[in-house]
Amino acid sequence: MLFNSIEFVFFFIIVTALYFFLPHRFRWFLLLAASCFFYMFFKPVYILILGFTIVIDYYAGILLENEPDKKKKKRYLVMSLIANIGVLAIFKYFNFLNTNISGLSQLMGYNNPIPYLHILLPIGLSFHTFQAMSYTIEVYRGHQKAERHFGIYSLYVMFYPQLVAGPIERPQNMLHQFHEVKYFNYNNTVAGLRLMLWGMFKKAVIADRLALITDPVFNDPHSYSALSILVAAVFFSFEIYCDFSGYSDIALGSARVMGFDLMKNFDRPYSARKISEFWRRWHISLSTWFKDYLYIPLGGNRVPVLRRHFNLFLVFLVSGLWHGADWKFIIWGALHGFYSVFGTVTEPARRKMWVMTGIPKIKWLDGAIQKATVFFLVTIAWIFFRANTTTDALYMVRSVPKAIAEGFTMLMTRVNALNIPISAGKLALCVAVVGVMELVHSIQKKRSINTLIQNQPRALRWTVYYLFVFSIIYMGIFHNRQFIYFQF
Amino acid sequence: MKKFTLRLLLFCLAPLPLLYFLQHVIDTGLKRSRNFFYAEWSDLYHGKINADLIVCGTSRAWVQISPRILDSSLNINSYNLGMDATPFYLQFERLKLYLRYNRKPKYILQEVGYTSTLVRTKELPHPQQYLPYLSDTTIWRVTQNTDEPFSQEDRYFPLYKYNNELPVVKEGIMSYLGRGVKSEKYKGYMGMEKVWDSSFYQFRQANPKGKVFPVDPQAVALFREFLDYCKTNDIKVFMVYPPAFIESLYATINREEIEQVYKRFSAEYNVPFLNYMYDSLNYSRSNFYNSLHLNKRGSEIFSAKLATDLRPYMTK
Repeated sequence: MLFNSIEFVFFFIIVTALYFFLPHRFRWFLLLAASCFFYMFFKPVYILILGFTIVIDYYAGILLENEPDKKKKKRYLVMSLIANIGVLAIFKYFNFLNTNISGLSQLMGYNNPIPYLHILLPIGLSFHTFQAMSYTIEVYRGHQKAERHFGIYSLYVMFYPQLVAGPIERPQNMLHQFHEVKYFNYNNTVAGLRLMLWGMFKKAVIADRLALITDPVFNDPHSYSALSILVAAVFFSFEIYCDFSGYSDIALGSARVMGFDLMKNFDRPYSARKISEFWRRWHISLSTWFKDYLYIPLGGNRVPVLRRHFNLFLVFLVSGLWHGADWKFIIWGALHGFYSVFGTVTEPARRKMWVMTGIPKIKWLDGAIQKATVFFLVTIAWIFFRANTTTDALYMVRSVPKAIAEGFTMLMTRVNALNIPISAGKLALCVAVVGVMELVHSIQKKRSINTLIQNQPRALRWTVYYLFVFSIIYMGIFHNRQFIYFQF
Repeated sequence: MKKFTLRLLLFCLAPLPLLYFLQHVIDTGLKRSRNFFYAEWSDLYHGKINADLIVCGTSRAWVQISPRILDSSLNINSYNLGMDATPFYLQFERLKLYLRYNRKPKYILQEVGYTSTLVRTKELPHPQQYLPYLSDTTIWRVTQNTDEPFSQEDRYFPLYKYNNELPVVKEGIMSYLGRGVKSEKYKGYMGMEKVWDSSFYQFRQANPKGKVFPVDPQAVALFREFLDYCKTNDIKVFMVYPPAFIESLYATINREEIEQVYKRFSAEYNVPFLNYMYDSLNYSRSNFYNSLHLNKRGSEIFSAKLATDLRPYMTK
């Protein structure tokens, strides 16, 4: 079920109402049943995969807790991880690996006898697998007690707001919440609905509107001018942010209405001044997952410099692979790895040179240039993420310098070099809605939007709500557009 | 929780009267509008057409057959109900609606071809034209049989059907206030003052050996139903295959098969088949703006020619 569908509106109202009407002891069952229904709305059979990993990890958790022998404990953890990663490997990476084997075999004059699997990738597989893995790892480390209630454990993996695209939760944050008695809280509910409204606005009004420009250009870049390609790439940066953070906001909001606190997944990532800062603000639940369960176990910051850089690069490479079984995602991850390592290595020299220019004395300019640089680098990497093929992505990246020249010529001669598939009015609307988002972000930088709205008179509050509700209903794009991150 | 539920209900219900009023304003405005599609629908529903001769078909009727020329040449009252890119079953349904609100015509001039009449598509071109009429059960039923039917939200949630249709909303409000934009159409016809574009050569590039347009048996059956319907209602039908740029005709591999279908209908129902497949107009690109559509000059020459060819049947 998509958050941006009428079905979800009814689903959410019914589930939330029932949740508060039912006594606490039945609530876990309601939420679990609702989550199953939510997931089965996409493709019912894939619930079996979820069921498989849930059963494995549930018993793995209990075995891990009961086992005093460290070696055996480790064995249980490894078995649980193999089961989880095995499911990922079969459904997500098998065909990718097989394609590469076929390519290599052909180069060597052989035919690859391994057949392809004709299976679809279950929605949100990487998300709930990582969430399940964090449970067994935390139980192994002794940070979390094993959950004995099978229903509650299942709910930890399947809780519908964050089931298909995160945030990837930790058991310490979630499991105790399912045991706690939740009471209806007016302020929580209103704050949750407000967050859902904002998320829906970002998805339906901004992201899916920008997709009207980005989709045709990315699907057929050779038919568009270099400037159009650059514009589409910039718009895609906003599209993917609004799409994913919109999903996260709806997830956080719908959970908050029922009294659950999910972890924050985004924090104005495009205001980052460094790539490392970008990753502290973008998909926070995944970045911290990789930090906690990969980067630190590899040695973290306590290893020699070269090894540290290698580890950092490796984490980004794996992050790219986590996103998708395709070379373009690996390149995307590698680019971010390169940005991070290169940024760290050259930072002292760059800082010296930067001070020499005198720009750091002008704070706003200093900030603007740094933010623009990070945005530009991230946008270049997004091209690989979104392009249909690596060849298309390379073509688009090669168009960037030409685009800058085209833009300059357009300014001087006023001859239109844009051939994007949208009218000037609609383009202006795209820029305007992105502007609205940035305005909200600039307010958020200084104070909490929640507090700000709460302190206004009701007439003003309701006017703002109506503006957003009507924008979504009458300006939103609803062509059954999935969330981009559902594919992972 | 009670306080919250009451406030939520108030929040949801409070704007509904305003939304329904706005929808009424826009619907009414569009039903009065003289703009593009809306003018013909308005004339049809208000029973203002009452023509002796109705031109039906796709854009090949709409931009190629001028009622002004037919009227003056044949001394009758004609009206062009051509609908751009519209499948035949929608044309047929509009004809039935026409007969519900208007006097029965003596003649129907049905444009025929290979792109819409004998193929079965479920497209709904220009869905905006139906928006003010979604409460009409016929329009609702007919548009539900398409690839992209309107949703229940479109039908019942106020103004939702105008989602992302700002120009349509503007036209509705302006027409309601009596300031709508009038299209240049005359009795449904609009000559196109355009020059030849390259779309045909793109088609040729994509289909270097030409293309087969398969004749769909269900579409043929529907066309038969249409002829039966006209016969029952005592309306004389003319089938017209309008001019098309000669190279596009040659690119239609099964053109003879298509021609034969119409010839068989002509013989079976005693319906004249005015065939301009090989007309002299077809040999000059200067008469067309693309391979299937005559420009204004070409359409006026063709309309005059058509009127001349129709005259013998009218005097009988």
